[in-house]
Amino acid sequence: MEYLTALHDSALSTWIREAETVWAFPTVLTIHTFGMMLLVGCAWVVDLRLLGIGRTIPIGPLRPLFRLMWLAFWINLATGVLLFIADPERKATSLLFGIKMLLIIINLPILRRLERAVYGETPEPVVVSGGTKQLAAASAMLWAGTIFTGRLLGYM
Amino acid sequence: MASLITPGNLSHLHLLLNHFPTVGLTVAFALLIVSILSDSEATRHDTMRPTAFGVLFAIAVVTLPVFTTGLAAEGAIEKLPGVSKAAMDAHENSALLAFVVLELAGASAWFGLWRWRRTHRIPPALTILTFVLSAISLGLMTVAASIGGGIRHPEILADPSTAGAQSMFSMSASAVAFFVNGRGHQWVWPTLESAHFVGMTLWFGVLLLANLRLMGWFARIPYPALHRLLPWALLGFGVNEVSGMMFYIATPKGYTTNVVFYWKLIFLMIAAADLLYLTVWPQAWKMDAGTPAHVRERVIGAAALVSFVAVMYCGRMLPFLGNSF
Repeated sequence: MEYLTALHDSALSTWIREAETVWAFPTVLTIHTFGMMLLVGCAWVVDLRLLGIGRTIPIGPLRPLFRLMWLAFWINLATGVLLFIADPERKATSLLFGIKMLLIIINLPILRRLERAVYGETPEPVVVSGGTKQLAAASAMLWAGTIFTGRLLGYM
Repeated sequence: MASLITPGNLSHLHLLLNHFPTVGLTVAFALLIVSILSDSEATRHDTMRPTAFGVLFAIAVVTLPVFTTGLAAEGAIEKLPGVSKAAMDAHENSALLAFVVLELAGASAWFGLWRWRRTHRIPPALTILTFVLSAISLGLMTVAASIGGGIRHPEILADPSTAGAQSMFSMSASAVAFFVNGRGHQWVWPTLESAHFVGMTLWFGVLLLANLRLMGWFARIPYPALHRLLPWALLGFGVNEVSGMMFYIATPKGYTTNVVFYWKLIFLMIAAADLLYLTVWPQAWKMDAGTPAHVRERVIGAAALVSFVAVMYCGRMLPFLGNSF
């Protein structure tokens, strides 16, 4: 707890939280929102395809979407850490924040599995296996849960 | 920039834009009737009916700023002598119902166009649904416009003493506001915000892939295959329109007094136009696997993606830029 208080009182934390400029908290938050939109937007498109929406879309060529997803993931890890630093005591003790982190931690290995599935699905045409479909459905729901818990954090 | 959003200018804007729903609907409706009655196969299926559906979708989109500038206009004139609050509320409530039905007509028209792009036929069921919804919304819009006209011109009413009487064809904006903001409803706003983020993300994912294909990336994917994803973009649009309108109706002054909100609306119009473009654009439909991009599609795609990010930016920054909330 003292660590969290020290973090809260640090110069960086204070600047993000209290600086009277849109370049502090508002910009970090907006970049985090952009990363969310890019990461989950690409993930949902791939999930929809794996679940059978647009069966004529070849799966292999969707690969570069995973590069966008990982780029967005790192953007959001960085901005997420900054948002945590701005408000460490409440975030660290918040159940909602814990659930959000848990949903992401469960989802990351699923995302890796889906990425391998997409890499493996050549040559076309392919039938998506039942297991991959279940993973895609689970991943899509976990992302929705992540967005919900993340957005609700703004109201705690 | 802020000087542009004076109350006077905003009511001016409402007076300018408010003709689009009634006039546009009349045009779309006339085109639709001709396309249904025509003996010519081409008129019925290839030219006039898709045009009518396209106009309907466009009118449904443009009616968003019509509604939102309406509450700004109310703020501008509510303190003037002789302006009846009751008449403005009656106008707002009848306009809200007309707006809801028009948006349903626009969604139905969009689905018609989506099917038409693939099969060159708009299914009869969608034609009937679109016809009925647009007829109802034209009627409701006429009622709303007439009540609205009476706010400053009671002399046009058959019985001026009825100015401010609620039309039976209306939806209560204050009930919507109570649902969002009322005592004991603290869970509603955060839930709607979460849904708003989900809708935005879904719309963006589809829009990103489709536009990137038209811009030349993902060249191994034939564009018509991506067409199947487009209804999910419309679903995201729909979720966000419903949640967004609920925020707006609950706390209009947080938006109408902020210039950022108007920027958001402008970029939103571009993003919505892009959805229509992704649905019906003939050159896009011809893009098979390996077809390279034309510079025109690159420019349109870049403009659309930048506009969508700008919608997000303006929305997310709304509490921090300008003066709202």
